[in-house]
Amino acid sequence: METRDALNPTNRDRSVRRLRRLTVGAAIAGFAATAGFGAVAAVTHPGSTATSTTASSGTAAGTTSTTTSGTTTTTAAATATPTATTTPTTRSAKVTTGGS
Amino acid sequence: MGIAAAHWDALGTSVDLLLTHEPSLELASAVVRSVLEQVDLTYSRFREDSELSRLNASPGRSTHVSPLLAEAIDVALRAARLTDGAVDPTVGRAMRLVGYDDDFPRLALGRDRPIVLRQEAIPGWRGVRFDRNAQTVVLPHGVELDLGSTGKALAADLAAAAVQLVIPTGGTLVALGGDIATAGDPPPDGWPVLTAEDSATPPDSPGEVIALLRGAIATSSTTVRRWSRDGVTLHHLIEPSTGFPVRGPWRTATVLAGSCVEANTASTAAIVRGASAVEWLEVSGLLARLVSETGAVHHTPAWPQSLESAA
Repeated sequence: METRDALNPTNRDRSVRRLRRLTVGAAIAGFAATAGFGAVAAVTHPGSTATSTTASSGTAAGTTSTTTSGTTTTTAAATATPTATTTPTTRSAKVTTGGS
Repeated sequence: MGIAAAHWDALGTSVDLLLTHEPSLELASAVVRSVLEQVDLTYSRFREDSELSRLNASPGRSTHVSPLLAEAIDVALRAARLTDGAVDPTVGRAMRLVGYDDDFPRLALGRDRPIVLRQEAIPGWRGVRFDRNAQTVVLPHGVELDLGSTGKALAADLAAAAVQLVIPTGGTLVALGGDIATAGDPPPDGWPVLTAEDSATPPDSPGEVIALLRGAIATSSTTVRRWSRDGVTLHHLIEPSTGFPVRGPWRTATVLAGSCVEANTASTAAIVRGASAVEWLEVSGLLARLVSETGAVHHTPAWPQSLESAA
């Protein structure tokens, strides 16, 4: 296990402070300039066989190996919305794309 | 390989964070929160103290903006160029006029407030004078920027990239209300994504599931973020030529692209373009799934096969 991202408060806070100093826009250096439609394509799993379906579903569920080690409180400030929480919760390792 | 997951709410929507390097979940969550916090402070239209609100209140004069706001404006203007104005950030005033004047969860509280709808073409993105290098912008009088369309997608891109910057091991997926960005190495079978019309649909629901290995996916839909004013039902996707919510053949569009900004730009443009969307998507080399007003689903030719059959 690497030590650079060990979950001790000092390392965590240092990393987040570093990110803030850089500022988000400067840190990631220009999404707008780097890609045009079709210049960088998304890649998807072909998903054409029952085997891959099963394998993917098994991986996706991931419930037995989903960690809860990150559920202690964080020092990062809460997000600004009224419904924000400060503690991550575990959930299915599958996500939904849809309108919002 | 296990996948760590965290979920919370921010920016008036839901946040999902998936990480293949499980021990780093807390750190990754802190990074994403930090990014979203800065996004909210910088270009929320609903915060009077945001940098964007101050800019919108200062038309007609050159304003120096922060790197993040400059990036967000740059992305929004590029989206307008790529879509011939179908996705236009100068819809801010039109959004306010049709009643979208608060963080969405609070809109329902004002459903009985009267509203006067008036057809009025939006000012147009070409009127915005923006100098990327100098980080200055001049808004014409009467123009209010709304970076919501590309802004949330940009936030997802930035958050995923920021996690990868701080935690270079493994892969990251960040979903902001259905706008999904990835960075780093995916799980061996990809990131499983349920394609739905509403991002609030539980991810284990029946439906089309694709496995994303790289890039991003986003969905725009007129079936969500709807509100009513004085008995009139409205939604958040504005037709630039009228300033009114779009009425067209497609109610939902999902697009795969290299970045979430591009996916969101194309999905929004597809709804606005209406009948010409399919040809435009195909010419642009984008993979898309469209749902018509009657519920019929149309896929562009190379759309990936679903991992799980629809119910």
